[in-house]
Amino acid sequence: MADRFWVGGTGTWNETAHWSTSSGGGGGASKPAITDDVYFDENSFSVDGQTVTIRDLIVSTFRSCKCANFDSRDVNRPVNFMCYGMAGVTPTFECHGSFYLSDLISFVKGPGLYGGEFEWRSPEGSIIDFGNHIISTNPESYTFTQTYIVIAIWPTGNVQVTGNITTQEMYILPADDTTIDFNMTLNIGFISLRSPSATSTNANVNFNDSQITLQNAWTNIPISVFENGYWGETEIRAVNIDPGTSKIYCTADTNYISLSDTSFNDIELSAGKILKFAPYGLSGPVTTLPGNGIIHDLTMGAGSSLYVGSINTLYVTGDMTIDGVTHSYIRSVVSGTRATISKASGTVNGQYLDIKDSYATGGAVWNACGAVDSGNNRGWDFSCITDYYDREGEPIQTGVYTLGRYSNQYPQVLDLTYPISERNGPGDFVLTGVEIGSILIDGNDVYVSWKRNNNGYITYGIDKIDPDKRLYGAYIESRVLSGNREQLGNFSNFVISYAHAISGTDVDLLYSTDYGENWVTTTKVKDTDRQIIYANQEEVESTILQLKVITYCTDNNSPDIERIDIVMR
Amino acid sequence: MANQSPTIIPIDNYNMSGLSDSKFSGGKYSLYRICGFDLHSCPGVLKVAQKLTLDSGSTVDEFVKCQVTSTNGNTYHFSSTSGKIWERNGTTGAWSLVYTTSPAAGTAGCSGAREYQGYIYWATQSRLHRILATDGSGAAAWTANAAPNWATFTNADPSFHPMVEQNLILYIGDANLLAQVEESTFTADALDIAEPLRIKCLGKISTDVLIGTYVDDHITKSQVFRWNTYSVSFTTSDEIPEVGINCFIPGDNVVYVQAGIQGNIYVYNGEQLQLYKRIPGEYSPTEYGRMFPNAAANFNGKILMGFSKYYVGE
Repeated sequence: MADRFWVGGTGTWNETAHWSTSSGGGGGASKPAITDDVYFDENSFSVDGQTVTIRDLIVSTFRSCKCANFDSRDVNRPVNFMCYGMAGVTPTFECHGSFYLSDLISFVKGPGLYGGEFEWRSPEGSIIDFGNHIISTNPESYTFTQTYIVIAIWPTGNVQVTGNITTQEMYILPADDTTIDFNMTLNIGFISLRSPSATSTNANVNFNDSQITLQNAWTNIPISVFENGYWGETEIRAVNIDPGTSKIYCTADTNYISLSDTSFNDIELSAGKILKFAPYGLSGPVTTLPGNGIIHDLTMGAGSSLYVGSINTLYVTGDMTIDGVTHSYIRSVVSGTRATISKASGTVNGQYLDIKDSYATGGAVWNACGAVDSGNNRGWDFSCITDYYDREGEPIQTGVYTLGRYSNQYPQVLDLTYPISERNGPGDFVLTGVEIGSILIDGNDVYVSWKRNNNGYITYGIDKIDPDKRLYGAYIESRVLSGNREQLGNFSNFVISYAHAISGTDVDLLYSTDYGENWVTTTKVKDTDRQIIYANQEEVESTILQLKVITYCTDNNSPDIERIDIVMR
Repeated sequence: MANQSPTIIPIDNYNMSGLSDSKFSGGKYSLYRICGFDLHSCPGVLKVAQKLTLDSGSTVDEFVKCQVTSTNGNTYHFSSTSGKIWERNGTTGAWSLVYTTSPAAGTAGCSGAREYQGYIYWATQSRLHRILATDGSGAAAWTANAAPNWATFTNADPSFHPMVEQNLILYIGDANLLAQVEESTFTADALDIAEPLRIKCLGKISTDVLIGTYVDDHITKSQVFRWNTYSVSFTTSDEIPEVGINCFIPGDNVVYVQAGIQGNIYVYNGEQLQLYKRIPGEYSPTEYGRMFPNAAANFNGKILMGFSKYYVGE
């Protein structure tokens, strides 16, 4: 076991002229073997931008560049590592110890097709610290004039892996009875976990607080060998995964995460992207893996798509959040066969979903009010419960009230003028579960900030009074008009006199004989000569009567109602 | 036998009584529900009101309790839970996150904001921050010109730093202290009131400042103070059995107050609060409601009041 110090600036790894037995010493020492420690330090380079080529010059074999421990923390100027090898002849670089990579070292592409495979065959107790590096840009253009680098963490004992890197392809291969402890920020296109042994036992990977971003890996890919944005096992050689508090951000156009009874902490799918819980396969992704997935928090960005394998169950133990504004999609990997998502408690608010072939189960409330039911679903509740009357008695209504009058000739009166913009449906106002935080006047504009808690699904916004649109579905309800229990009253008719009933607007006339528990919509007749709308129906006997008028507007046009006459006999 | 003459029950004069007190009782012409109508722009006719439309899109992703309209032509909207500040460009109508406050101490949620003498001031739990409005249009300008941690509150009230400008001075509540900014000089304790009262909202009457207080949700006792801004102590106070003075509501030559959790609206006669109206509904120990300190405004002579309802557990 010997020390080898790089000297003489630009050169190629196998050139003995660049290896010294001391820092800044003369070259000529043998190139490092797997038992030798390698140092790149302040005496290795004399000019910024010098380049070390990580490649054995014996082209016929492409033998790898090797070392035991690798330490470049004392490099004091920006330099380059240029890496390339030959596809199928691996590895290009082997580290058999700890690895410390200076942030001043940049990785540059070599001239060949293949950037080479870098392997860490590190023993027990090693630390692999990648520092902060872009090893391969994402996405990489896959052409025959450009290269990329494969990283393989393939230790023989328990090791720690840290750093903040962007790269394209990484293999994690824990040996039996060992653990790889990751605690890193990783931006990557393809990451594979598998045991090197066909019959693995106790091969472990801990992700601790790692932040993993799946990205598009390759563009112009000539053969569909690999998938972009892949995370998981490429073969059924199970490793035990402890997700810790890690998070996987799925930002590739299409992301694949394989399930093999795998646990994840948080997964966040970016807006507009696709996530498929389906494995990698050499002839394209096969449809399912025989295992389930357990996720703590699962977040779907607006307009995203989630596919679940039809023989898997996806368990969500924390929150499942679907961001709003545009529809997101839940689908089965196998169209026509239901895929199962299970959550034991709480509420999933799927109002912005388009759902097909999905079985929602486990005990949670699967609220799909407002969602699109595209068929073959089970467990989702697509019904909507309006909250006009969500409690018995007389509910307090949330919104912006007006206390005002036309002039001093009139009394100051109170009314609920502005329900917030959130709607369960047209004219179906949200009048509970809302907080109004602030009202701001800005000239002729009024801004209203609000928060809505819809069974645990919280949204926020700032509304503005719309000068071009009137409220669709505004309504009035009368007080109780008769309460004589001994004598029935006969409700005969219901006449609305209007000043203007502009084309496209409408009015509904309703009555209730049981304190508003059930509203009956009358058949209305419009008499344009007399400018009235009246109910065309049989008399109704009751001791209790309430009336309700709902108006429907188009843009800024609304019916202007002068009076409403209730005709009793 | 002749047919019985029909009885006509008219519903009209909508603007003469508004909402009834309940489904069963109310003033003449009152209605149990009036939702979405403009009663006042044309007396005698029931017109549908303009609607509220979401303007902030998905940009504003936290609850805003403080908003400021600025002399630079934009409006600013402050998160109550983090340090985020959003700008709505007054020319383009575009919304953007322009700044995220990282106070040197205390939580970052905004608990009070106002423009005063050309500066936008905003308060977090422990610190007062500011930016010259003319230097504060867009994220780059905010990053370059904001003066975070411009002043330090003595009490660091975790929830409320209401602001009002009166007699050319900006007053800011901070638990039992009333701080002030006069031109560019900050004083943390311009006035003190008895502990454990906390200043929740501020208002104005004549040339005096009104101070609304709150202790916590268990103390059903609140006071309104009137202070002439120059004496060593307040001028008058009135105590009412409510869980907090939530909001001063600016009328025209009259001040209303929303107090407590039962929807009560009081009118302030200069010395005392008198019960005036109630937001209708059945209040109970499990269903209640109140206004936030900045959830009222006077819009062309009409008072707008944002009322929030809660269930126990929310």
